[in-house]
Amino acid sequence: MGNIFTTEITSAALAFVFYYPLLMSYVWMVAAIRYYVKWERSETDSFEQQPVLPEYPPVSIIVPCHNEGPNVRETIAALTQQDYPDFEIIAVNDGSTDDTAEQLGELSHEFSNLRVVHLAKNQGKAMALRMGALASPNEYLICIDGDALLDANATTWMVKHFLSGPRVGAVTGNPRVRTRSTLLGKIQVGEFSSIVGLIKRAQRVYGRIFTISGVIAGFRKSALQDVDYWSIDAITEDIDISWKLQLNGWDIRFEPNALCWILMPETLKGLWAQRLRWAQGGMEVFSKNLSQLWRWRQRRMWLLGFEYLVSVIWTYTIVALLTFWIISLCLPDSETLSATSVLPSSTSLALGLTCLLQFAVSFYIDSRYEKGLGRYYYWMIWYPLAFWLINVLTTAVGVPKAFFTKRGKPAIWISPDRGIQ
Amino acid sequence: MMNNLIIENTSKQGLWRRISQGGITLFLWATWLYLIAPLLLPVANAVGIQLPLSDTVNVETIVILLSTVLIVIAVLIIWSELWARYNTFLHRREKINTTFLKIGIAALAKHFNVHPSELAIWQQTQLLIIHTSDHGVIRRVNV
Repeated sequence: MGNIFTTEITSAALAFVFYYPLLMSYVWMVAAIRYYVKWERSETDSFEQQPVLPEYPPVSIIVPCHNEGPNVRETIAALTQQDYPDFEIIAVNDGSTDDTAEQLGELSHEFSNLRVVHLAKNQGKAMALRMGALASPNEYLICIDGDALLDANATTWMVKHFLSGPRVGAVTGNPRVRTRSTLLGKIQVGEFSSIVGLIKRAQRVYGRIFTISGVIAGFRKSALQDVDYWSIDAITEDIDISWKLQLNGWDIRFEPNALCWILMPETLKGLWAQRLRWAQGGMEVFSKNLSQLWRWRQRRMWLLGFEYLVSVIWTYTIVALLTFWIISLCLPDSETLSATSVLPSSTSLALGLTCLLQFAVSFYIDSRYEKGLGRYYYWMIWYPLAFWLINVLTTAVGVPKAFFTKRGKPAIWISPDRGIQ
Repeated sequence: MMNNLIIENTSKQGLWRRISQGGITLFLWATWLYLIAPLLLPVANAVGIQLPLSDTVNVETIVILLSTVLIVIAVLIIWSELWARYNTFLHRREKINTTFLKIGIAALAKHFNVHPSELAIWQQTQLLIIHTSDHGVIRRVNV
């Protein structure tokens, strides 16, 4: 009797592990194609040109920097090339211990529209952004990381959304991976296209976005003030501000034409550290907002919350099944724990096929922004094997960390490796 | 410009590492194609190619699965459209009820607990040094 019960539970868990990502993949693809057909395909302007705006309000571009010595010059130089009539750059040196302060000092002499804010000690990215917002006299803020390169037309593309409606609180851009030397780098090119880009398009169609990309986001200052700006104790300040804004009725838009070229880790250690932080941050934000998520006025957030919760349950189901499978290999009498259950079967092949189809759809949509993107498809065969495993493990470890981390103090973290340069 | 932005220094990795990565990737594709060969069977038969089939795969199961997937996609398209329209309706209603208020310097200063006249100076200054407490309270600002 016990064996039958265990077998039934195992079968149900396997069905869940298989059908949930399959369903979600089609949910994302269908909605992303709808986004593409409705908003992208008909766009007459490309990211290389600019939309014409009815007005060009002044904009502050805030760049938090902590030990960005090797990158900050390139970042600031790229920002000065923004094709926008009225903007200033505010670089916030967040207590760097390298030569960032000296470099910013030199750059401020070269570029008259660069202002520099030094924080006396390292207080974390959220605090740097808060101080940047305070120092800015403008209503519209564009925030990018200290190692990112913003496309010359990105500011105009983002401001366009703020002018389109007063409830637009934030706009997130389109991060493009620069570091593509290693296998991990190449896979991340596909991941940012397929997982990040496709899901953002889909979530935009469904009305709420799980997170802006912290590396490139624009904000309306009155919206930030309404939600008390970035939380200094949030390990992922971008997820936190996204939820705060949307729970307070502000809208978040995705602008694929606002390109921002970013450095990503190319070692397993760096990738692990980054994904662990993302996983921990997601649960921190979810648990913090759970009590108000269930209210009727938050119904537009329900899909996001539900999807996130099911994803976490899915992760732990996989971990449990893998654990049982390994145990079954070690035990002499373990017929109930089917050892063949994790080997390729018809259903897992359908899942693999769907995954590759999702990559194909996203590469097609994203090829508008990057020529030659298709050649990275070759490396995507690794994704269902390697990256799913990494993401499952980081979620399994990161979620409990969210409950044991002490809140209230500034969340300070060091950027992982920035790839081979 | 794009070509300058992409960093692809493959040669910075060892030769064996590059060969093994490329080789394993090729192996994974070959295995994958072998496993999904039953799906390619109708196409292969049409052009007269005999495919080696994996015995772990049941063609009938895959056909049933793909039919189910097609039905699911149809349902998703309808559901996606309905939800998107409902969402647009809610968004428009919120938009109508909104008046736009630009944040003023007094409100900003009050929020950060600083003096408005000092803040006005800080916002025009080229170089600022801000001292804060561990909890984010501004202690001192040097202009």
